[in-house]
Amino acid sequence: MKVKERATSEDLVMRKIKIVVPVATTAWNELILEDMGRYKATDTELAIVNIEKGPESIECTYDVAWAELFTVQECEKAEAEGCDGVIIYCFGDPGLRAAKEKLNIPVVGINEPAVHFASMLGNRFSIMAVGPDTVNRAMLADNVLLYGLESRCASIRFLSMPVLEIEKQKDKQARRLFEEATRAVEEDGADTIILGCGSMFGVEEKVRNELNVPVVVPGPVALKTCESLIKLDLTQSKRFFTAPPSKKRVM
Amino acid sequence: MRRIKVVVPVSVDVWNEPVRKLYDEWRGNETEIDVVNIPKGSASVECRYDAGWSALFTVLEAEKAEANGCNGVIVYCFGEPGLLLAKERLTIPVVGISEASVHFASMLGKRFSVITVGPSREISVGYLEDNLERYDLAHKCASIRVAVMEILDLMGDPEHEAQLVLAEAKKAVEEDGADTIVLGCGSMLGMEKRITNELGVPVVVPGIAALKVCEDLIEMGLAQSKRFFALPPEKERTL
Repeated sequence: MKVKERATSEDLVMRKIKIVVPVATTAWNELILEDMGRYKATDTELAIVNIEKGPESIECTYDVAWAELFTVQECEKAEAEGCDGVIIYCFGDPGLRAAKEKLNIPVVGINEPAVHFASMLGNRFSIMAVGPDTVNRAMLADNVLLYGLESRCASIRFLSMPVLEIEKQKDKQARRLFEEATRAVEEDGADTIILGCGSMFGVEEKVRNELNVPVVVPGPVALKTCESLIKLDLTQSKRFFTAPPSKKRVM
Repeated sequence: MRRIKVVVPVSVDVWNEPVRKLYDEWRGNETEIDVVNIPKGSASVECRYDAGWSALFTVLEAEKAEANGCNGVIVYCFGEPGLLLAKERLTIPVVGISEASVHFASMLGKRFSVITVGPSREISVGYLEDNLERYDLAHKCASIRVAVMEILDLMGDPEHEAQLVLAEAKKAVEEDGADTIVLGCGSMLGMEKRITNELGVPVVVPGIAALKVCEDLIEMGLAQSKRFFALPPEKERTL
């Protein structure tokens, strides 16, 4: 790993970040770009792409498997195009570890930074999950375990609404979020709430104000983390995320 | 503009200028930085006992920062004296440089080592381990290694210091299995490039990680949870 020369604060060097949306639909791209645009630094340039094949939403470990390969390939393209960092925009973090192996620029998921930030804000967080019933329990619990913060997780609670329904039924989404967040705080002992899906836009105010807890919105946290890593010249350790050996891989 | 107050929790002002310089280099364009040390307390913070001496004066400076309209506070010492107290008392984000850096390191690899400086291994390790336990990230820590020297000597011979730190970082990677290095003292400045170039691992500089976390929290309207860090009750407290 070679360290680049630092830019001085007078130079405005644009940082190019590619957001990879790991679902085979364009439905979220504009909403995500609009939301991330509000939080991006002035010297950040954002591009967004969804995967062309794979699942139309990610709600369980099975969907993750469908999305991963296509997601990693989009990440590889981003690096080849000269991007400075990549965000995999799904709370399941599909393909995140594989992309960290393959790429030499920072790759950031939206789950990983959210649980770390939440751990800095309080003692116990609860994740508000989206998906039919409780189908994503394993996917979300596995990620918390992988990131080593299961001791900080008070609970995973379920809105029990399919991902593809939440934007269409925004009032119901906000109401279910508030109901489950209230239970997380009152029954599970959570002091911090994490929105457990990248597609929950502008629904957190009531939780923040009425329950007196910080609400971590995963997309902006991922963006800020990615910007910081680029600015600080930090990338995933290639001693742990070692580059994969060359070989024939067929599809 | 975001105004961040950096409290250096030692009763000497020798670090203010180097810290100011560091933050000027790394701050966002909309961030304004103010650096102060504490008027009383310990001259350096190398153990739990020193932290006890510095904690109260650190919190008092942090309170002043909030009263003066600052948007965030950074407790600039890897031992983080007074951090939890300040998180209770303040409603603006309070960030420690250890907490921010070990969370960053955890996102970069599997196991980090903390390389710190101090008068002896015994004095530093227990103190820093307490912090890692509190952040529930002790299991991500491959080792805590100490480049043995007096912190206040760091000002004198930076080349000698860098050599000692590099030697410990090399052992951390080769013997302890670390894939990421965290510099375990805010006064270890200007040596991260050299370690990265020689060992091929990311090196987290704690002061800069804390700066970015503090800026990000302000930007996103986040602060420590007042359900966990509830406001202290009012009463008379004398000094």
